[in-house]
Amino acid sequence: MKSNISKKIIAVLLTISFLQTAKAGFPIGNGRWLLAPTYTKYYADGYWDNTGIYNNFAKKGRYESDYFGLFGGVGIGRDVDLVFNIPYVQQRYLENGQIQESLSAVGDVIVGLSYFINHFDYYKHLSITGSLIFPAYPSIEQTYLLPGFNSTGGEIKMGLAGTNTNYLKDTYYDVEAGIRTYFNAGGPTMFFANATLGVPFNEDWKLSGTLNLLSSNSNTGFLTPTNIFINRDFSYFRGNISLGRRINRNITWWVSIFRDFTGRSIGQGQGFSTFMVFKF
Amino acid sequence: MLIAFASIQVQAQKPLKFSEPSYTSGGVNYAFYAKDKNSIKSKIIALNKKGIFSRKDKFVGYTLRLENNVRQEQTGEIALKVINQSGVILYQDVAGFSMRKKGEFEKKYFFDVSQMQPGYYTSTISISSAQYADSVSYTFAFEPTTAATTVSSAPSDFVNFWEQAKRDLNSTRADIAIRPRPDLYRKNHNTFEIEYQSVDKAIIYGWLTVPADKSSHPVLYIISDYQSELIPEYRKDVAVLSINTRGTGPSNQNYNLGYDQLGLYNIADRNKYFLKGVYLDGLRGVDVIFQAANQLHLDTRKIVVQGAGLGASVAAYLGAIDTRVSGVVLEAPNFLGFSSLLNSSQGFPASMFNSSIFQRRITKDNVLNTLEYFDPIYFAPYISNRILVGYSLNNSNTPAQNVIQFIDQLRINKKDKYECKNCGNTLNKGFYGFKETWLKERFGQP
Repeated sequence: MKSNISKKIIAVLLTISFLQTAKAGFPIGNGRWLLAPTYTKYYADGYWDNTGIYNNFAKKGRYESDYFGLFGGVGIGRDVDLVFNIPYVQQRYLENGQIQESLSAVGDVIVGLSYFINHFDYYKHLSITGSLIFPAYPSIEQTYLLPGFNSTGGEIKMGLAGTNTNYLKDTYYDVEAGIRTYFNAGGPTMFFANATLGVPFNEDWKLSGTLNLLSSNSNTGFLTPTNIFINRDFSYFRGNISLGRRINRNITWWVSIFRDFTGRSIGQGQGFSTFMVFKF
Repeated sequence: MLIAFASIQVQAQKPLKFSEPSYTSGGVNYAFYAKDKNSIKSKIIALNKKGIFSRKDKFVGYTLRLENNVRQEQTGEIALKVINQSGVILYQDVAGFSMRKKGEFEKKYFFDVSQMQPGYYTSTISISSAQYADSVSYTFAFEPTTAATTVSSAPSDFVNFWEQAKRDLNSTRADIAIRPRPDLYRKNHNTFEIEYQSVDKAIIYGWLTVPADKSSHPVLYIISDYQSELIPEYRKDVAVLSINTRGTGPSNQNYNLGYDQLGLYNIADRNKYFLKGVYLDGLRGVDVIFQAANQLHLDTRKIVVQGAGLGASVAAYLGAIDTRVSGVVLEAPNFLGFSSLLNSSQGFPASMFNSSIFQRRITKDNVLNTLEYFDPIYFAPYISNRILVGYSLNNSNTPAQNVIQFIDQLRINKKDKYECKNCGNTLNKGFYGFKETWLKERFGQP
């Protein structure tokens, strides 16, 4: 039973992270587009229970997902960007190498507006982003695997992104923190904070590291009579390292590995990701 | 404590009344030697946030704050002069100050609202003590949107003059040479030395850097400031042409003149005047881009001309006269609004012109009759490209009001201006950051 609770929901988390590496906190630019198709392989062989103690899944259990995402944005003006994210997730739960459950579905579609409150000296940018979350899948099927909470939601976050011009010259950073809530009785309400530091080696190669912290809270606890298997109360701390290669002036190709360091009521995830960032 | 005391004192003070108009004599240069510019830190804080006032404001003016940076008492004088946009002196005043070691001094200057006319006001404040001497300049606006434009019209043969100038240039062989300089190649850029001939047989030199990949590159064309030599500039995904106009760097054959002489070269005759050559040197630079375009993969639909100081005047000229240019960037223009500049400024270049008038080598009318053909304010209505103008409100060489007048004369709808409140005679990081954003928009680059 415990293992079932732990393996729920993982797909939701994936939609939140990653895109900072694509310099998402910087303005896209008036009339310009950004598109970032992403592929992420995620797996977990165990989980942290609600006291933060690690356990392996029973019967050599493993949770896997293949995540295909399209993140994009368009600069409506110098100070306003429209951003969106469309995920498609294939999930599997295996025991002793045998697939026990699987589900393929479009996940939560996110559409938001970023407003740049201040560009300071144009080397750093303070933004506020408000987004709406729409579940793009039909109601919950008879499976433990879910692509989301099956509820509309809203998110608001503040971001500060910039390029260092004095210390750590030419490195860039992107820090954001926000709150996301789902509009239903059990919530949950999530607090998250992400921080990225990027280091360009030369014109073509750059390395970036990101830390993600997420805490999901629900006043109904993680067991509810109606959605007994949906885990709404969990947290994790994840790190990733990404290597980016500039293909040309419009395209950068990134590869990334990530791992969860600690958590609560959640699978211990790790995996890799690759994505292209097109700017035009 | 001191600040609190100062502000109490100010409440009792009456607004300053403008005196009878008088005109400046010009030509007076402050000479300061062996003084420590860091011994006092001065700051001007407008009584409202933006330095733009209206009739509704109770106070129109600013606070001058001095900080004593040395461990020694300082006493001295503050000389204030307020002029309007025509260069008429409205108020003059000399007051003493004294600061304890590491102390502060604050003085509020505010003016009688009933006397204010819509427009721009520039204050020149000279501060001197035994250890310190410097002057700061500050421009504020009073109901600027209703200000009557005070720009006199361009000379009647202005257009003909420049048509003829263009013909002069066209009848001069260009002899453009674009020489690879492998010794200056970089990993991702190739470097070329540029040489061509301009009017008066001036040989002009410059640099062209081109990203090494074979895609088509937009061009940033940078024109040198007054006697500030440009070296090759390297930019990601952008080709950069840097031209040293006559009298600057290697382009000084026949123009190897001192800093305070070059700008006076042939000033009595507008057809032979130094600035005419400079402007045409700049115009021919665009031909270089077109000559190099095919071989070096330059995108001639995306040419942005950029200049600082005098280079800004040349950029404005190109924006007005050359349809091949798609954008212009003016950084702290200072050769403009000559008719008021000679009255209002003690800094360069006004000091150069005024000193020759003062030495009776030429009359002021003569100088202005020549300079008006080269005043960017008269090019402004002809500029049809996107333009970015960056300027500082407290530039002590060329008052901000001259730049604001130029911007007022622009007829295009989409003009971007970057106003820095306290940049002195330079611009700040904020401007250069915004310029990068602006250039990306012009070049269509992410």
